[in-house]
Amino acid sequence: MKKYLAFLLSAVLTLAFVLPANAQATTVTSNVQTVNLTMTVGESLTIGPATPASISFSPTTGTASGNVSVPVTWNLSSGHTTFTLYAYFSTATALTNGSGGTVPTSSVNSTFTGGTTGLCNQAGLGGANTCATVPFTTSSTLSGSGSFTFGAWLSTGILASLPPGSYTGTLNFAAQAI
Amino acid sequence: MKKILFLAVLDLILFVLAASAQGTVGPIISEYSGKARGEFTVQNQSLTPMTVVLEPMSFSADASGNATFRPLDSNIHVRLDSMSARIGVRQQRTFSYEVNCEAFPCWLSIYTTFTGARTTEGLQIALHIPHTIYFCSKGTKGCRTKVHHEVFGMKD
Repeated sequence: MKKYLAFLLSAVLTLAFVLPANAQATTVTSNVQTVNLTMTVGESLTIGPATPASISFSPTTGTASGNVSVPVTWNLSSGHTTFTLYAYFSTATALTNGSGGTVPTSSVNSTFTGGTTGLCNQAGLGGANTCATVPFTTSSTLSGSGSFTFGAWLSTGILASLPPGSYTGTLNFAAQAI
Repeated sequence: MKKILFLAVLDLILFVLAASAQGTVGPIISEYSGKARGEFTVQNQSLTPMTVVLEPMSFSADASGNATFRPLDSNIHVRLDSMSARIGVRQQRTFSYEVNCEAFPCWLSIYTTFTGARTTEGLQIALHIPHTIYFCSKGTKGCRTKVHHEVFGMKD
């Protein structure tokens, strides 16, 4: 009887150790949970810094101190692959000395490399005070950058009639995707 | 001597960068139907704090996409949470707006103006980047395309 009990105890203990080991060896796969990942990268258009930040003109020749370089960086959606870079004045006065002396936009010549050339009195972004423009197509490159060179000079006809003074004004650059 | 020259050049570069405006606007185009309530973000990427000014404008375009801008039409009403803001170096500001139109479709651009340092002589440079809004009646899909094709006669 003792032998039988010892055998039974031994068998029970053996099973107690073996069974969990067998249970561990069994592969149990849970159901699969998924998490959706989303990220929205919005379109953006960056312009600047325009260099130099200001230009001055010779009072005798009307030539500018230099051209303005206007960098543009874009990240656009397909279908928005074109934009136009405008140079313009907000009013019909390009420069003023603050005491009656003015240079009208019709006396400012302009050119954009790769774009148009003309006086700054055209229709466009600045009403009738728009200078040269550059229509730009990004083609297949929806994300990229470019630099555009703008030049301006004053018509010599206006220079002789200008009263003395320091003439200032603001030239605007705008990138427009519609 | 080399150190002084290096510092002088660095100073000059920082001055030029600080005087120059640089900004980003996104998204650049938003389309709405039924209700036009949205926002856009303006980033100052220059090395100096900058005051930006917002200005809503109406525009029309020819079949080639050449746009002509004008003051905002009287039948378009725009409510902006702010018309200007001071934005710190490398900081951004989100502007919220609500547009109401008396007739559909309607469209407009909200121009953000970045201005660099003032100049005492010659031409100062200002930069403008628009956020353009196309707004159609409820249930209309592809508002921008609809305006481009049916109003401007564009074929994009």
